Amino acid sequence: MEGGASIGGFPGFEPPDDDERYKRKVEKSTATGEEVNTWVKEINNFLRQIANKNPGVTLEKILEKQGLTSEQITSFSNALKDVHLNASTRVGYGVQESTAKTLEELMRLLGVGTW
Amino acid sequence: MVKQFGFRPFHRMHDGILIHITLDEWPADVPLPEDIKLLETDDGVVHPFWRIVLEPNRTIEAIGGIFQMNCSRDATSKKFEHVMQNVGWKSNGMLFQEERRTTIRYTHSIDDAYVEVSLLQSKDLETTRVTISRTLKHPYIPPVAEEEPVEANVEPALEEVAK
Repeated sequence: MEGGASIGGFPGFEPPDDDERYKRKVEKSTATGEEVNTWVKEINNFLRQIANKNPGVTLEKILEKQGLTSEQITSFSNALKDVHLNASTRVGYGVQESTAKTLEELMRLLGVGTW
Repeated sequence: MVKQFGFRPFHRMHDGILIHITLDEWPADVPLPEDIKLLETDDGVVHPFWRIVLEPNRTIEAIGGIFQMNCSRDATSKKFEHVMQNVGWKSNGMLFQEERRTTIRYTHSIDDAYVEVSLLQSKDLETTRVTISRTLKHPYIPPVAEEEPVEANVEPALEEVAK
Protein backbone atom coordinates (compact mmCIF):
# COMPACT_ATOMS: atom_id res chain seq x y z
CA MET A 1 0.00 0.00 0.00
CA GLU A 2 2.34 2.67 -1.23
CA GLY A 3 1.16 6.16 -0.24
CA GLY A 4 0.96 8.40 -3.25
CA ALA A 5 0.76 5.74 -5.91
CA SER A 6 -2.70 6.90 -6.90
CA ILE A 7 -4.51 10.23 -6.90
CA GLY A 8 -4.51 11.29 -3.29
CA GLY A 9 -2.58 8.15 -2.48
CA PHE A 10 -5.80 6.18 -2.23
CA PRO A 11 -4.99 2.48 -2.45
CA GLY A 12 -6.61 0.43 -5.17
CA PHE A 13 -6.91 3.32 -7.59
CA GLU A 14 -3.47 3.27 -9.14
CA PRO A 15 -3.31 4.27 -12.81
CA PRO A 16 -2.69 1.47 -15.33
CA ASP A 17 0.97 1.08 -16.35
CA ASP A 18 0.24 1.89 -19.99
CA ASP A 19 -1.65 5.12 -19.27
CA GLU A 20 1.17 7.67 -19.24
CA ARG A 21 -1.18 10.68 -19.22
CA TYR A 22 -3.04 9.44 -16.17
CA LYS A 23 0.20 8.50 -14.43
CA ARG A 24 1.61 11.99 -15.04
CA LYS A 25 -1.55 13.61 -13.66
CA VAL A 26 -1.33 11.50 -10.53
CA GLU A 27 2.37 12.12 -10.07
CA LYS A 28 2.06 15.89 -10.51
CA SER A 29 -1.34 16.19 -8.79
CA THR A 30 -2.67 18.13 -11.78
CA ALA A 31 -6.04 16.39 -12.16
CA THR A 32 -8.91 18.72 -13.02
CA GLY A 33 -11.91 19.11 -10.73
CA GLU A 34 -14.04 17.00 -13.08
CA GLU A 35 -11.46 14.24 -13.01
CA VAL A 36 -11.38 14.38 -9.21
CA ASN A 37 -15.18 14.19 -9.22
CA THR A 38 -15.16 11.04 -11.37
CA TRP A 39 -12.47 9.50 -9.23
CA VAL A 40 -14.30 10.31 -5.95
CA LYS A 41 -17.47 8.76 -7.40
CA GLU A 42 -15.51 5.55 -8.00
CA ILE A 43 -14.18 5.64 -4.44
CA ASN A 44 -17.75 6.22 -3.21
CA ASN A 45 -18.94 3.11 -5.08
CA PHE A 46 -16.06 1.14 -3.61
CA LEU A 47 -16.82 2.35 -0.05
CA ARG A 48 -20.57 1.81 -0.49
CA GLN A 49 -20.01 -1.84 -1.38
CA ILE A 50 -17.80 -2.26 1.71
CA ALA A 51 -20.41 -0.57 3.93
CA ASN A 52 -23.29 -2.61 2.48
CA LYS A 53 -21.47 -5.89 3.00
CA ASN A 54 -20.51 -4.98 6.58
CA PRO A 55 -23.45 -3.10 8.12
CA GLY A 56 -22.59 -1.41 11.42
CA VAL A 57 -18.90 -2.34 11.25
CA THR A 58 -16.15 0.31 11.16
CA LEU A 59 -13.59 0.39 8.37
CA GLU A 60 -10.89 -0.23 10.95
CA LYS A 61 -12.53 -3.50 12.03
CA ILE A 62 -13.17 -4.54 8.43
CA LEU A 63 -9.53 -3.98 7.46
CA GLU A 64 -8.35 -5.72 10.63
CA LYS A 65 -10.44 -8.71 9.62
CA GLN A 66 -8.77 -8.60 6.21
CA GLY A 67 -5.43 -9.01 7.95
CA LEU A 68 -4.08 -5.49 7.49
CA THR A 69 -1.60 -4.16 10.02
CA SER A 70 -2.40 -1.08 12.12
CA GLU A 71 0.09 0.90 9.97
CA GLN A 72 -1.72 -0.13 6.82
CA ILE A 73 -5.08 0.76 8.34
CA THR A 74 -3.81 4.21 9.40
CA SER A 75 -2.36 4.66 5.93
CA PHE A 76 -5.73 3.83 4.36
CA SER A 77 -7.58 6.23 6.69
CA ASN A 78 -5.07 9.04 6.04
CA ALA A 79 -5.42 8.52 2.30
CA LEU A 80 -9.18 8.72 2.67
CA LYS A 81 -8.91 11.96 4.67
CA ASP A 82 -6.72 13.43 1.93
CA VAL A 83 -9.31 12.44 -0.65
CA HIS A 84 -12.00 14.11 1.44
CA LEU A 85 -10.03 17.35 1.72
CA ASN A 86 -9.22 17.28 -1.99
CA ALA A 87 -12.90 16.84 -2.83
CA SER A 88 -13.97 19.60 -0.41
CA THR A 89 -11.42 22.02 -1.88
CA ARG A 90 -12.74 21.44 -5.38
CA VAL A 91 -16.48 21.77 -4.61
CA GLY A 92 -17.92 24.10 -7.22
CA TYR A 93 -14.81 23.70 -9.37
CA GLY A 94 -15.60 20.40 -11.03
CA VAL A 95 -16.51 18.44 -7.91
CA GLN A 96 -20.24 18.25 -7.26
CA GLU A 97 -21.47 18.95 -3.75
CA SER A 98 -23.47 15.69 -3.86
CA THR A 99 -20.29 13.70 -4.60
CA ALA A 100 -18.46 15.29 -1.65
CA LYS A 101 -21.52 14.75 0.57
CA THR A 102 -21.73 11.03 -0.31
CA LEU A 103 -18.05 10.61 0.53
CA GLU A 104 -18.57 12.29 3.92
CA GLU A 105 -21.62 10.14 4.68
CA LEU A 106 -19.79 6.94 3.79
CA MET A 107 -16.75 7.93 5.85
CA ARG A 108 -19.01 8.66 8.83
CA LEU A 109 -20.83 5.35 8.31
CA LEU A 110 -17.49 3.54 8.33
CA GLY A 111 -16.24 5.40 11.39
CA VAL A 112 -13.55 7.42 9.62
CA GLY A 113 -13.42 10.95 11.02
CA THR A 114 -13.77 13.78 8.56
CA TRP A 115 -13.20 16.63 11.02
CA MET B 1 -7.31 43.03 11.84
CA VAL B 2 -10.84 42.43 10.68
CA LYS B 3 -10.98 41.74 7.01
CA GLN B 4 -13.83 43.40 5.14
CA PHE B 5 -15.05 40.54 2.99
CA GLY B 6 -18.24 42.10 1.73
CA PHE B 7 -20.61 39.85 -0.17
CA ARG B 8 -18.94 36.99 -1.96
CA PRO B 9 -19.84 33.68 -3.58
CA PHE B 10 -20.33 30.68 -1.34
CA HIS B 11 -21.43 27.10 -1.71
CA ARG B 12 -24.43 25.88 0.24
CA MET B 13 -23.42 22.47 1.57
CA HIS B 14 -25.74 19.86 3.07
CA ASP B 15 -24.62 20.84 6.58
CA GLY B 16 -23.40 24.42 6.26
CA ILE B 17 -21.51 26.68 3.88
CA LEU B 18 -18.18 26.63 2.10
CA ILE B 19 -16.33 29.73 0.96
CA HIS B 20 -13.19 29.71 -1.15
CA ILE B 21 -10.48 32.03 0.11
CA THR B 22 -7.30 33.49 -1.34
CA LEU B 23 -3.82 32.82 -0.04
CA ASP B 24 -3.87 36.32 1.56
CA GLU B 25 -6.88 35.25 3.61
CA TRP B 26 -5.29 32.07 4.92
CA PRO B 27 -5.41 32.25 8.76
CA ALA B 28 -2.24 33.69 10.31
CA ASP B 29 -2.40 31.21 13.18
CA VAL B 30 -1.53 28.44 10.72
CA PRO B 31 1.69 29.88 9.30
CA LEU B 32 2.98 28.72 5.95
CA PRO B 33 6.63 28.47 4.89
CA GLU B 34 7.64 31.44 2.71
CA ASP B 35 8.29 29.42 -0.43
CA ILE B 36 4.97 27.56 -0.44
CA LYS B 37 2.52 28.02 -3.31
CA LEU B 38 -1.00 26.94 -4.07
CA LEU B 39 -1.34 23.72 -6.05
CA GLU B 40 -1.78 24.40 -9.74
CA THR B 41 -3.76 21.82 -11.69
CA ASP B 42 -4.81 21.44 -15.31
CA ASP B 43 -7.77 23.74 -14.63
CA GLY B 44 -5.97 26.37 -12.60
CA VAL B 45 -4.96 27.18 -9.05
CA VAL B 46 -6.80 25.31 -6.30
CA HIS B 47 -7.94 27.87 -3.73
CA PRO B 48 -8.22 26.96 -0.03
CA PHE B 49 -11.63 26.80 1.59
CA TRP B 50 -13.26 27.96 4.79
CA ARG B 51 -16.12 25.74 5.80
CA ILE B 52 -18.67 26.14 8.54
CA VAL B 53 -20.47 22.93 9.51
CA LEU B 54 -23.62 23.32 11.59
CA GLU B 55 -24.39 20.40 13.89
CA PRO B 56 -27.08 20.34 16.62
CA ASN B 57 -24.64 20.73 19.52
CA ARG B 58 -21.58 22.27 17.92
CA THR B 59 -20.30 24.38 15.06
CA ILE B 60 -17.24 23.11 13.24
CA GLU B 61 -14.96 25.57 11.51
CA ALA B 62 -12.57 24.00 9.04
CA ILE B 63 -9.92 25.59 6.87
CA GLY B 64 -8.33 23.44 4.20
CA GLY B 65 -5.93 23.85 1.32
CA ILE B 66 -3.64 22.01 -1.06
CA PHE B 67 -0.19 23.47 -1.65
CA GLN B 68 3.09 22.65 -3.27
CA MET B 69 6.69 22.97 -2.11
CA ASN B 70 9.64 22.72 -4.48
CA CYS B 71 11.70 20.65 -2.08
CA SER B 72 11.75 17.18 -0.60
CA ARG B 73 9.33 15.92 2.00
CA ASP B 74 11.96 15.96 4.74
CA ALA B 75 12.91 19.58 4.00
CA THR B 76 9.21 20.54 3.89
CA SER B 77 8.57 18.75 7.16
CA LYS B 78 11.39 20.65 8.88
CA LYS B 79 10.12 23.99 7.58
CA PHE B 80 6.64 23.27 8.91
CA GLU B 81 7.95 22.15 12.26
CA HIS B 82 9.79 25.46 12.55
CA VAL B 83 6.95 27.79 11.57
CA MET B 84 4.33 25.90 13.56
CA GLN B 85 6.39 25.79 16.74
CA ASN B 86 6.88 29.55 16.51
CA VAL B 87 3.16 30.12 17.10
CA GLY B 88 2.62 27.48 19.75
CA TRP B 89 1.59 24.40 17.78
CA LYS B 90 3.12 21.13 18.93
CA SER B 91 3.28 17.89 16.99
CA ASN B 92 3.94 15.87 20.18
CA GLY B 93 5.29 13.06 18.07
CA MET B 94 1.89 12.66 16.45
CA LEU B 95 3.37 11.67 13.17
CA PHE B 96 2.66 8.91 10.69
CA GLN B 97 5.29 8.06 8.14
CA GLU B 98 4.85 6.01 4.99
CA GLU B 99 7.08 5.46 2.02
CA ARG B 100 6.05 8.70 0.32
CA ARG B 101 3.60 10.32 2.70
CA THR B 102 4.04 11.87 6.13
CA THR B 103 1.04 12.96 8.15
CA ILE B 104 1.60 15.26 11.13
CA ARG B 105 -1.07 16.29 13.61
CA TYR B 106 -0.43 19.51 15.52
CA THR B 107 -2.34 20.44 18.62
CA HIS B 108 -2.44 23.71 20.53
CA SER B 109 -2.06 24.19 24.24
CA ILE B 110 -4.76 26.81 24.60
CA ASP B 111 -7.70 24.90 23.19
CA ASP B 112 -8.59 21.68 21.41
CA ALA B 113 -7.85 23.04 17.95
CA TYR B 114 -5.79 20.83 15.69
CA VAL B 115 -4.00 21.06 12.39
CA GLU B 116 -3.29 18.11 10.14
CA VAL B 117 -0.51 18.41 7.59
CA SER B 118 -0.09 15.68 5.01
CA LEU B 119 3.09 15.70 2.93
CA LEU B 120 3.17 13.65 -0.26
CA GLN B 121 6.53 13.46 -1.96
CA SER B 122 6.90 13.19 -5.73
CA LYS B 123 8.83 10.24 -7.13
CA ASP B 124 11.68 12.50 -8.30
CA LEU B 125 11.96 13.83 -4.71
CA GLU B 126 11.92 17.40 -6.02
CA THR B 127 8.44 18.49 -5.00
CA THR B 128 6.05 17.82 -2.14
CA ARG B 129 2.29 18.19 -2.22
CA VAL B 130 1.08 19.60 1.07
CA THR B 131 -2.49 19.15 2.30
CA ILE B 132 -3.38 21.24 5.36
CA SER B 133 -6.53 21.38 7.42
CA ARG B 134 -7.25 23.25 10.62
CA THR B 135 -10.29 22.24 12.62
CA LEU B 136 -11.96 24.19 15.41
CA LYS B 137 -14.98 22.82 17.24
CA HIS B 138 -17.19 25.39 18.93
CA PRO B 139 -19.77 24.05 21.39
CA TYR B 140 -23.30 25.26 20.74
CA ILE B 141 -26.14 25.37 23.22
CA PRO B 142 -29.41 26.01 21.42
CA PRO B 143 -31.35 28.89 23.00
CA VAL B 144 -34.22 27.87 25.25
CA ALA B 145 -37.51 28.54 23.51
CA GLU B 146 -39.37 31.54 24.86
CA GLU B 147 -42.41 30.56 26.91
CA GLU B 148 -45.67 31.39 25.23
CA PRO B 149 -47.81 33.72 27.35
CA VAL B 150 -50.94 32.12 28.77
CA GLU B 151 -54.00 33.57 27.15
CA ALA B 152 -55.74 34.25 30.50
CA ASN B 153 -52.91 36.57 31.46
CA VAL B 154 -53.07 38.50 28.22
CA GLU B 155 -56.74 39.44 28.21
CA PRO B 156 -56.80 41.56 31.41
CA ALA B 157 -53.80 43.46 30.09
CA LEU B 158 -55.64 44.16 26.85
CA GLU B 159 -58.70 45.33 28.77
CA GLU B 160 -56.48 47.65 30.70
CA VAL B 161 -55.20 49.11 27.45
CA ALA B 162 -58.78 49.53 26.10
CA LYS B 163 -59.71 51.65 29.13
